[in-house]
Amino acid sequence: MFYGQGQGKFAPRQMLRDARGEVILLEAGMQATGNYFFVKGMAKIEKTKDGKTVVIRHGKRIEVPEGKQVALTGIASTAHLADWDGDGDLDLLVGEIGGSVYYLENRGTRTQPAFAPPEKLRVTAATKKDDARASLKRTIKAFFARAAAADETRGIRAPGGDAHPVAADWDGDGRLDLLLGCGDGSVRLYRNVGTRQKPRLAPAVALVSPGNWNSKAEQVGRGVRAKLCVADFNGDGRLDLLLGDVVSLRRRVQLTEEQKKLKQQLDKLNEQYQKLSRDYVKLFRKDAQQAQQFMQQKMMPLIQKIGRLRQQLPQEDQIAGHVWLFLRREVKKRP
Amino acid sequence: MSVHFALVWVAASLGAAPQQSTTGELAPPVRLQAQGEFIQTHHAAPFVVDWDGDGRLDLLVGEFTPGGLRIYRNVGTPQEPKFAAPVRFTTTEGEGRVPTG
Repeated sequence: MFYGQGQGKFAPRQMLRDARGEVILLEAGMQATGNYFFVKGMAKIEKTKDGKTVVIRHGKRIEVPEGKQVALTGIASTAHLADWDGDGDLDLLVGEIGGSVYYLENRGTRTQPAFAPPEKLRVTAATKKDDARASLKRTIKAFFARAAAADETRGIRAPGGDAHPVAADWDGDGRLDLLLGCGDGSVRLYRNVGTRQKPRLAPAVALVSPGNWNSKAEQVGRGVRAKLCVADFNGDGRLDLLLGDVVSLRRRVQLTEEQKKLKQQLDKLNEQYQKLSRDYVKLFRKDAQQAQQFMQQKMMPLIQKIGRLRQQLPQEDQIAGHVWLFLRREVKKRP
Repeated sequence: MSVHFALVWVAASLGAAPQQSTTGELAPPVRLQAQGEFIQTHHAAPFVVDWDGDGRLDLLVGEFTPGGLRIYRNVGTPQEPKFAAPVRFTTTEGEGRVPTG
């Protein structure tokens, strides 16, 4: 959080804290998997005098179980502030790399927020009571909707992970809906079929189709890892959608005869690297320590060689992010 | 019973795919530009807000690397935004960035 100080000035960043004053941590934070001890978020690793490994995380010391190696990893959290429960203060919606979305209710005030522990947002499928009231046609539709939403009733899951939630009254009924940017580049809409104070989310509706990781540089297409903004961009009274992405742009380059030979060498080295990568994965499953040695002794020299060769060739790939604008044609009301 | 089974099978085969598409609500996407050039960062995260209080929506674009924020001022109109070259978001202690990952 960068707090504004007026006159266009901002204070240095601070980490948001919950109602107890603790740093907000999602997805448990630490996990022992195989030979590894994964620590999500920011942490320091230290060795003690007696050779033990300790993770220092937000002032707390956690001893790493014997035989485990520590790996630091982020969760690509995406934060969005909105008055989700309609009580006049700003609550927090947070997406993460696994595709889940968390709601942190603000139990403080507008000026002194106090965030409750995170809870997963989930789809609330149509109930049997709802079905009974509906016509046969609507009952069948509700049945399929319920089946399709089944695995999101325990928690929303963005396809391709990397969830980016945004709350907005997309259908103009006075209730905040949830739009979700997804790792595969798609955008989903979860309509609020509850109330302004107690949102209930209907099964997802596709707003934007998935993108692609690869794209030609001459004809740029939409990429993946959709990041959203919902706003009336052109002042016509309708909410529009802005989408940020990331894409690998491939350029067509003309190679000289000498460069073509280098390219052939590079292709061979890449093949070797692919083989070593497969061996590494197999070894890693058996023994992480040996896999680490294998990486240092066999793979790193090859990676460096590949890097040196690549520098001698014109760059073919470039990672880039763009901003796409989807103007709204019409506002579809909920049936 | 068999109808119920068939419905369950069909529903299961549909998986968790969204039931309907409202794609028709949205016009085909256009890539935003600033000063006649396509906006390009490393993984873009856009946001619009009237940053300078002139009644026009400006564009803020977060970027994965190096975790900074670009501010594109709207030099067009509220109905037809046009964006100037970006400036970087700063705090009282220099460029405002967040750790990536």
